[in-house]
Amino acid sequence: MGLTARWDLAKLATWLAVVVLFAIFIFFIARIQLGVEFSDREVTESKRDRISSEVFDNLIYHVAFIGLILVLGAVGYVLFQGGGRERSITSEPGELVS
Amino acid sequence: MVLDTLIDIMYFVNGLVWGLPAIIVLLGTGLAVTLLLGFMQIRYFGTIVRNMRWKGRKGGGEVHPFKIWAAVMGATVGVGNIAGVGTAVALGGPGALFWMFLTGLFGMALKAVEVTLGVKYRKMKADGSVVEGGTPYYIRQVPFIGPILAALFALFAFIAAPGIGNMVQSSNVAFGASFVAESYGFDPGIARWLVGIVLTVFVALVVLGGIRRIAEVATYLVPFMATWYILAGLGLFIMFAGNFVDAIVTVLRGAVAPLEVAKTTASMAGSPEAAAGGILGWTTYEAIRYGVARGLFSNEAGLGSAPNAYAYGESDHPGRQGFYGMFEVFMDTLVICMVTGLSIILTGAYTTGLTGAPLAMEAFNRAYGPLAPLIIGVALMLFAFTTLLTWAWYGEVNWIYFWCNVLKLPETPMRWIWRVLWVILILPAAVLAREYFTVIWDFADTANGLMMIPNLIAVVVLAPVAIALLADFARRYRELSS
Repeated sequence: MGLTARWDLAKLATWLAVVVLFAIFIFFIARIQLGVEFSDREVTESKRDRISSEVFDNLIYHVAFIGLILVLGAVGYVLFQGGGRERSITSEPGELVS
Repeated sequence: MVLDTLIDIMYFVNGLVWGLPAIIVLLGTGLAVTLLLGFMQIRYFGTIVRNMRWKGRKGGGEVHPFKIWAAVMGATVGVGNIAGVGTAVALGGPGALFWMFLTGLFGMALKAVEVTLGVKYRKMKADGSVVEGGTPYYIRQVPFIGPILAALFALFAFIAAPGIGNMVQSSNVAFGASFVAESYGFDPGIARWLVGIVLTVFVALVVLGGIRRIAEVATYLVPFMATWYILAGLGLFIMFAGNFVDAIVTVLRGAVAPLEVAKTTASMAGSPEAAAGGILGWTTYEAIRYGVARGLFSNEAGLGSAPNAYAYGESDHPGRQGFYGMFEVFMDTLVICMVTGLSIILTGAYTTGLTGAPLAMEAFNRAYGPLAPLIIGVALMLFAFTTLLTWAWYGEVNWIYFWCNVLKLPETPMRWIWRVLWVILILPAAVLAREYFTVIWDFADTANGLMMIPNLIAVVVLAPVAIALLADFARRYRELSS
């Protein structure tokens, strides 16, 4: 049965926006958690050290890695879209070959 | 010197592909796909369950779809469902379970997309036999860089498979056996040798028969092992039913606010001195970080592993296999991981300061006493054994793609080289101490994480195809059912 797959920019924008917002959410939560105080000073300090070293000491690499996937995904999507925003596809489970 | 630098680079990359950035892109993509599919995994949950009863169709694939599903479940449900959840709760607190649950929910959609693409872009003969099928075959559809991404994916996958799919699992089966043997007064060293030899013979018999035999064996083993573990968990839930409301409140509190509890030791647990061990604390960030990480790495949504097997299942519509994929993640993360996690919270074992498999063991010990090593030991062995079988196929598909499709080497000898290699790696991994293999395993683990990059790019580029197919299948199946 014939179907239409649509490479509209709304889908791409949804993916980009959700990943970026989720990244901001995680970094924001991590920033807030640096200020959490537990009744045991050692616990408080070990938490701060762990969050700080994991999130903020390597922030540039984290952003670069996420950015790389977003850019490659977006460029690939736009290039694919360049071949036509709508394509007819079938619901066949695979392609028959001889 | 050069080797040290290479190892440092490997660990740096490992931190990226198994760390925070990977969590963000994987869960973010899962959430985006969930939105684009209009929360299909919730709206069509009844259809997802009913789809499991589909009888299959000759001529549209090689293996019955339930058998393929069982084989994939065998790979997905692994030691991570016990030890990984224990680690998540130890490092992220009870709140990690809430975030793990959400990860499973969004992972269902992401898995459905990649599995649908795996079936859509396979090539079959008229008799239904699959000539080409698996993750690299849809990755290569990406314009310009697709063939390079597909080759990279295949390379990462067949490097990862012998390490994380074979040697780690052989070691885990042997560890589970030696653990059970030691608990009942037998020599753990002899148990490891015995298990290593038996495992080599069994795996050889199964893996040399290809995907059909792997799926056939999984059809019997996987429902048994899942039932074994779920029933043990349900028994524990009944014994500790009085703590249920408190446990859920603790999980929800820990999910959104820092949590502090009195620390106990395993030996003091339940005694009046229980609060004498200081405090344990978890931040919300840790609950998210470890809950999401262990959830994602348990259900493998977005890594591109499962389509390598689903592509060989009988099918009348690519969306149908996508629905099988959703049920797979549901069972893995929303059922089996939750059994482990809730057992740890209900019994109060999370306050002991233990982590990983010993934490899960402590929870079952509080419910079942001397039977606990048997319950966990058998579950660990079965979970690892089935992972060992199906990963042999995941590796083989990608090994063949790389050497025969990209580099044009002859297929039959290369297929046999892979299968023999797979079998001979089992015994040393089962018998020798883990320290001998640490760097090799970490290298394989890094390759496993790297699989995510080409797969996610392809998933994003081809998502409109999968979304159209899944929506079409859902609509038609509902029409047919009503």
